[in-house]
Amino acid sequence: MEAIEHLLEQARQGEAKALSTLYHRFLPGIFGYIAIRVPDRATAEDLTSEVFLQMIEGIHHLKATDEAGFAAWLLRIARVVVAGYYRKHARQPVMVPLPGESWEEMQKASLVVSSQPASDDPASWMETREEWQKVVEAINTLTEEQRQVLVGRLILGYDVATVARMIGKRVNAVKALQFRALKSLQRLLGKQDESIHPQQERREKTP
Amino acid sequence: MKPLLERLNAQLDLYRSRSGSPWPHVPGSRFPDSARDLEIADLLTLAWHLRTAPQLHVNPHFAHHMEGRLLSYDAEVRQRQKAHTRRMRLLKRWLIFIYKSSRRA
Repeated sequence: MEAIEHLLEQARQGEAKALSTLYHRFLPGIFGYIAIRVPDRATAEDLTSEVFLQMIEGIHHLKATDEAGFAAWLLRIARVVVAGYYRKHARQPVMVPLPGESWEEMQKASLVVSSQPASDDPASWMETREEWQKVVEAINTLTEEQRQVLVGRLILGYDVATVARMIGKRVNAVKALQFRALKSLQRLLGKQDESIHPQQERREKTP
Repeated sequence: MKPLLERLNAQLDLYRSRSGSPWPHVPGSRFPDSARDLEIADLLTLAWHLRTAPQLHVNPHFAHHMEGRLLSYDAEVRQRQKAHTRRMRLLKRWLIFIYKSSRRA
């Protein structure tokens, strides 16, 4: 894998290949960070585009020279873009997905297989569109640092030391953040699971 | 005995080192012996679900389309910056000319 310092330098000099490499290396992380915070794929793709277009505008003035610094910079742009999206849509909470972009279609291409019924496991909340909405809501209640740790560790696949440099924290703090992030998600998704069940039980009892 | 967060981190590191291949379990199956603790196992399952959620995977068509858009935007930005630099250079020359003319006068 090419060194990020070299790629950044080349991208600043206008090398299209370096820019493409940077884009492909960071696209999964940025898309993942955004997709986990907005309810549909079309919006996630729009906002991801916005982040990378801003990357083009700002890369010439960027001071970061290492992978963690560059990832942190992109995630900062992504955070602002997502915040802007929620500000803009504050009065329009209902979002309609584009046809052909439904989760069901993605599911066909997915390798995710669950052997457990949805009600048994908080993680199974990710398996339908409505359930994914619950995951997005739960993720949005985490702190920004917790979200960045999850993206860094689970999507970008960084080690704890890199994530620590990325968010400007100590290694032990990152370990605590990832533990707390997953515990909070587990609790939040579990709580939503429980809050649905009494309604279902009531419905079942109604003649 | 290591605290829970250390054990969780060790397991995540172990799975990270096997990147490219799936994590050594599927939901509902047994965990490896090293993840004995049930709480850790639950958190690992949740992390696995997040990592493999189809909603978080980039559509290759989008990635390809976006790459083209990005490169043409880069060319456009460069063109704009060049034009700006040229304008600034002309402005500087003009200001120097005005300054010198006023001194001569």
